[in-house]
Amino acid sequence: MSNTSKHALSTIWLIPDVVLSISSLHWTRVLPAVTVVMITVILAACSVVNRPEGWAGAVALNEVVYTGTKEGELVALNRVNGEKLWHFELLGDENYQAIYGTPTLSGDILYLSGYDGHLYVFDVSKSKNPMDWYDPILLDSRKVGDPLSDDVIPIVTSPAIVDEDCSDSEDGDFPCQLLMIGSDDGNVYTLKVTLDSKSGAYIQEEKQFPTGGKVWSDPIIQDGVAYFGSLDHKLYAVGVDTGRLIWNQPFETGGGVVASPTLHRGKILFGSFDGNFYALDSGTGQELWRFSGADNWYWAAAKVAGDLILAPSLDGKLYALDANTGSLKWVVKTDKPIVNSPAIISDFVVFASDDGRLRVVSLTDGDLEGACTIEEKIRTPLTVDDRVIYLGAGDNTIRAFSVGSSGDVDEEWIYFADEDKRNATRGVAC
Amino acid sequence: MIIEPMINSLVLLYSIFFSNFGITIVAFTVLIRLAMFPLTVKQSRSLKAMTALQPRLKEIQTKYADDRERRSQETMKVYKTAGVNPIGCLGPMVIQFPIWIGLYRAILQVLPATPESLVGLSERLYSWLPMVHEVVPLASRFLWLDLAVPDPYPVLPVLVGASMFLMQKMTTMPTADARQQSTNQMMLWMMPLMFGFFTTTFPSGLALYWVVSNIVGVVMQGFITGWGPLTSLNLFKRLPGQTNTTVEDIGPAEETTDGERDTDEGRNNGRGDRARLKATRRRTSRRRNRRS
Repeated sequence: MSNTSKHALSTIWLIPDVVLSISSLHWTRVLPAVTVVMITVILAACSVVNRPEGWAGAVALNEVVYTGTKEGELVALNRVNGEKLWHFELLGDENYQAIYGTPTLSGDILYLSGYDGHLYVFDVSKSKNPMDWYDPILLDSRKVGDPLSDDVIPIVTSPAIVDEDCSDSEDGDFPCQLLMIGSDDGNVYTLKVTLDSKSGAYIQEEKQFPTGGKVWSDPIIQDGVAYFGSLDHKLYAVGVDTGRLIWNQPFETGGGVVASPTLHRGKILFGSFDGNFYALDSGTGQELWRFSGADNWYWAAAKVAGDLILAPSLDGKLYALDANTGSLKWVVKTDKPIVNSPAIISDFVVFASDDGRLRVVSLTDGDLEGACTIEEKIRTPLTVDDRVIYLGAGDNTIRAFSVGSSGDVDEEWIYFADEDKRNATRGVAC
Repeated sequence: MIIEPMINSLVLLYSIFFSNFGITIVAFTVLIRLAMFPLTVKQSRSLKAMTALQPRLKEIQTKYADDRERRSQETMKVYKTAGVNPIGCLGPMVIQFPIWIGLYRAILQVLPATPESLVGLSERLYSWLPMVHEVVPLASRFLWLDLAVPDPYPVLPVLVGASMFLMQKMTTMPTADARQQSTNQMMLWMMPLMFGFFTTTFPSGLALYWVVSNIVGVVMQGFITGWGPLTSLNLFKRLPGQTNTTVEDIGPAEETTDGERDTDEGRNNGRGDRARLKATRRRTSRRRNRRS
């Protein structure tokens, strides 16, 4: 037998020897200790991090666009070229630095709700023109809910203006405005913002309406009634002055209601986590019809164009429904969830999906007329201003696209919230 | 592959068990342990057999200390004759690891704190299970706990450590080897302390799983191998040796009364070991004679 063969044979016998050595150490006792360490490393490496990122929409004021970034900053950008003019960091807990609600404008006052649980009030009267720019002035900020509590109660909704002028000028009251905001604690708060030219603003809580779950649905106000959904599966209609339900009871669905309701000719239109899209009578809360064709939840608010309802779903489809009967007119399919509402530009519907494509389809039949591939999730609401769409992408950029008369899409500008990426070379998305 | 079924199972159980996620985790744990019961029985038997073989293996080690080949041959012969697979008891342990990891991730995903994570959950739920969509989002509160975050009080870490200690006690087999006794004693304390410490950083839902899993494991082990280790619970006393016994003869440990004291605790004293072996063989044969 050769030396090599002998060596190989002797090596083979090492295997049971190794087994013996290990077994004699009662490796079944030692191994768990090593394994626990390994598991800890694996769990730490693979852990799902529930850090909020935010997907705030934009609001345009003259030549300036205000929106939130994924880093939890409110930024002001030049509407023409995307140049950053100003930014503001949220003041609350750093673990809750995110903005989900779109800023709300009322005259020269801008309201912002943060995931840190605060409402911020800015004076933007001198912050409308990049050529004559003054930074917005923070008039006041307040923690919504119990300001003395150490707990952070996040806010995902946008502030809704209830009354733009609630002051009694005959009594010499300061100007004031009323807002409504939904909160993670299940309450919808009515806040009064008193505007004092000398001291700024003063925020105080007027009322709160409790629900059974988190309120992630933007309140919609019409004719003194606030309509909003809750994760307790219900849709509510609450009198703004009374703070009470105007229906006998809230309308209950089979799943959470995150989508803000849409009001159209006496109807309340909204989708639920149960996969149904509902139409209710706004006066009584009675169900008029429902559409049950979706394969997943409804998350974003529907849009209405004439008698056509455009309802996006997390199943990746945009459903076009008849506003009177709820019958399906057409549907556009994508591969990924649609988290934001579509936008209407003349005869086109513009919408974006998690598949990273901005699509322009015909309002008539849903045929694709134009598209732009960004290759990042697009979850922010689409803000339209004069055929220009402003949106935020998953790579922490804010982008502007123009939609031509034939439906073609062109990128106008891009703003990188991450400074590291600003100077990187990149091609135009479309 | 494992996380989506876990997520949907958890949500389905939640819809069954009164929308209470704590009870859901308890039920889920019991189901997992029941499913692994055949493997658990096999593991227990394998451990017992392995322990019974230790004295003979030690003899072989001593006898063929200088002849590695012969030592290995004799070792494999012993395993083969006894019908024992030296790595057979790994099975249940290996299966538990992906369950722990999968459950950790599943708990974080079924208890979403942010809108992004709730959207992510929507993609993982089976559309053909309508009831799972109706109960989302799940309520994470159970007693004083928020099951998505670590226990703010030391209650669960203590429960995890204590239940693990009991589990270790139940699965530790008596051995004559002083070195192994020392190792066993170390693991008896180290594992509970380590798990108790890790509990302070993991979601309390996972810690609840560990507590329930250990308790169920103790009960199962008790019915398989007996409750002796618990009845002789003494934190500061080592388990006395019990060597050269067959699988059928292993029972509650008994103290040595032959006056042979082991003053070399933890050290390999060949003469002392042989003397103890002889004493134990005498006791075993006396027992057999009495029975016949």
